[in-house]
Amino acid sequence: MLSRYYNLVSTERFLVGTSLFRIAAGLLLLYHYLIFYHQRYFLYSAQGVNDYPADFIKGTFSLYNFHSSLTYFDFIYHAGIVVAFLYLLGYKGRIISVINFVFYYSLYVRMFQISDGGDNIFIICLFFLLFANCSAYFSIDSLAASRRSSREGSFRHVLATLLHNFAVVCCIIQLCILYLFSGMYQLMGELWQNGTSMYYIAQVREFSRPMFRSLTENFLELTIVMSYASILAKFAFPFTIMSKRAKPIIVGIMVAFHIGIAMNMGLLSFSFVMIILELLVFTDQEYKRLGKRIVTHWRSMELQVRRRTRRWGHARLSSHRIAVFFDGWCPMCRGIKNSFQRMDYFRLLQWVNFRDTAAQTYGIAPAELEQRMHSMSLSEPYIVRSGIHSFIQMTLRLPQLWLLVPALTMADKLRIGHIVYDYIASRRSLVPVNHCDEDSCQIIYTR
Amino acid sequence: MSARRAGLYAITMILTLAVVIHFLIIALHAGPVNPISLRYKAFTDRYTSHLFQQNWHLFAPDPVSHNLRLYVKVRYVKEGDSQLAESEWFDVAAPMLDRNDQTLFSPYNRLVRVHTGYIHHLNLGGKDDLTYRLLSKTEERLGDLKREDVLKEDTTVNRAEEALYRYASSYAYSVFRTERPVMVQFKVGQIAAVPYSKRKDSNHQQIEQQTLYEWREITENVIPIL
Repeated sequence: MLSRYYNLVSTERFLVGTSLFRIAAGLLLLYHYLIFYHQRYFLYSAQGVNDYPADFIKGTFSLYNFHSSLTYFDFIYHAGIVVAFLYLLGYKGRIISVINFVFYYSLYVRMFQISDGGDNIFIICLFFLLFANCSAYFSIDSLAASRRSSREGSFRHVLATLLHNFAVVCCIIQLCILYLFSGMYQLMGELWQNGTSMYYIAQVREFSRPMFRSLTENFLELTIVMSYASILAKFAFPFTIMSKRAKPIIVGIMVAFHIGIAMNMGLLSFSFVMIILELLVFTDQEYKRLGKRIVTHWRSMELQVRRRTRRWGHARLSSHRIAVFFDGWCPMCRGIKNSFQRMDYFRLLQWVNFRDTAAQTYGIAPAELEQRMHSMSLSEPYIVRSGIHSFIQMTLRLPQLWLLVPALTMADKLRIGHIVYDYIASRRSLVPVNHCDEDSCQIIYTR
Repeated sequence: MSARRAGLYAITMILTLAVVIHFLIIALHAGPVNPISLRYKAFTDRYTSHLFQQNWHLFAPDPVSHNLRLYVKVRYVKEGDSQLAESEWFDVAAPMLDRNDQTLFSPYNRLVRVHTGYIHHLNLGGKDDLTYRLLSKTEERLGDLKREDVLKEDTTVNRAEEALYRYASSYAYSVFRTERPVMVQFKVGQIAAVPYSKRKDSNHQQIEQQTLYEWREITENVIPIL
């Protein structure tokens, strides 16, 4: 039994969740630093609204406590922003996690009145996650790690995995405690028992936005049902996350619940923290299964869209079709052709390899085709364009590239488009294909 | 069993035990007050005092049902004038609340809590509501000491008052940029929500209870709020 328990806790299983949490937490930290940038002195400095007496300075750790000058304050504040950004990128995972925690904790203890339950659980979980590997995926560290040999199985690795798993479990238990106790406190309150609590909260402007006020004015019964549902969901959470099947459902409910709180009560960062903590409850296997499902679903959706847009394009946009003459010997050109073909939802581009003999039927001189990419409209008046103009014609037919059109048009008007195009086209490398017989290949030197 | 494996087993068991003990303490601290949690309150409060401090009341058991307002009045000297002028009452939070209604993504989303937080401290002191309930139940044991007396002794209340004067000074510096603010005064307004039973009663009037605080010299080492 001990062996089974050991195997359970020493197997890597929460790496994707912690990595996603790191990104979300990093974004939240940066948001916090930047949204209060102009009010930073007022909120956190010794010259602000809060008085930081000697007993506070003595009894609380904060980097901001070491000096009361605004220059020093600014240095720490800006260093905090840089560290939060590095944390977001997942650079030097554990070290930056510790430094980031020190910087954010320093700010947290000075928040006083503006902090809420979200900041409270956030700082606790950030502490637990100091012992976790939060940069295994989607990080600079993960890119570097893929180049290094694995240390899997070593004492250090197993110990790190143990600490990681326990850290995540601590965050999950902490989340369950929050839900369970806040649900219990709700049950103890008379207004929560009779379902009128939301009616009262909606009248307090600090915690109610116009949507909430309108909801209680027009759908009072719904708010009564919702206040009971919130208690039920909070009680259900700790028990349902044990079940693999029920977990996504309860997490979905809690995410919807917190989006509702953000929109109606205006508790933005609280709701965001509660939502991102839900990322930790899923195992790597569950994330990978979800990833596969999303890819499969995405592909089938894309196929359906392609079929429909192709049909629609054929019926409505056929007059806009163009033939694009590309160099089949140039790997870069073939790569661009493949990418553009994937984006060509309306089938408006007909690709012609000018190295094929069939290209000659279009009546454009092969020497010109070799020099620049050409395009030709496939309906009257069969306009032929070349170089940057062909490129612009293609981007006009691919909605994903519409953002490039103004820049390309501008480059054309300024007469730098042609120069850049010709430079790239002249330096393209060529690998001739279909020139091989059984014994040898004929190499054609083009320059 | 190898020494390495035995070591890892031991670490696993220590970690498990640590997690169980930690969350037992947290449960005692954060859960509803009961005889067991009261017995260990001194220890659990000390254990959670820095890193693991937590409060999961979250609008429960009694949700907020009062609108708290802060009004500021300023005495100032106009440029090129030696006379002391007095401003009207400014409703400090009203523009912030309006802005928060328009968008969630602004600093006002949290700035609106600064004055209400301090007003709560003025009314309740540093203790949570549950402790006050217990205090009121055992008032006979306190002898002649009343809730107000307890509050008077509470340093949190004094600090909240101090902070509200700083807030008022900061606001005065924001509004009177070309003049020289000299003194500030503030008053706190409290408006109870319309009771559920009176929601359709058009004759029901919401009365704002106001507490006026004295004029005080402006706090000089404070940054303008805006």
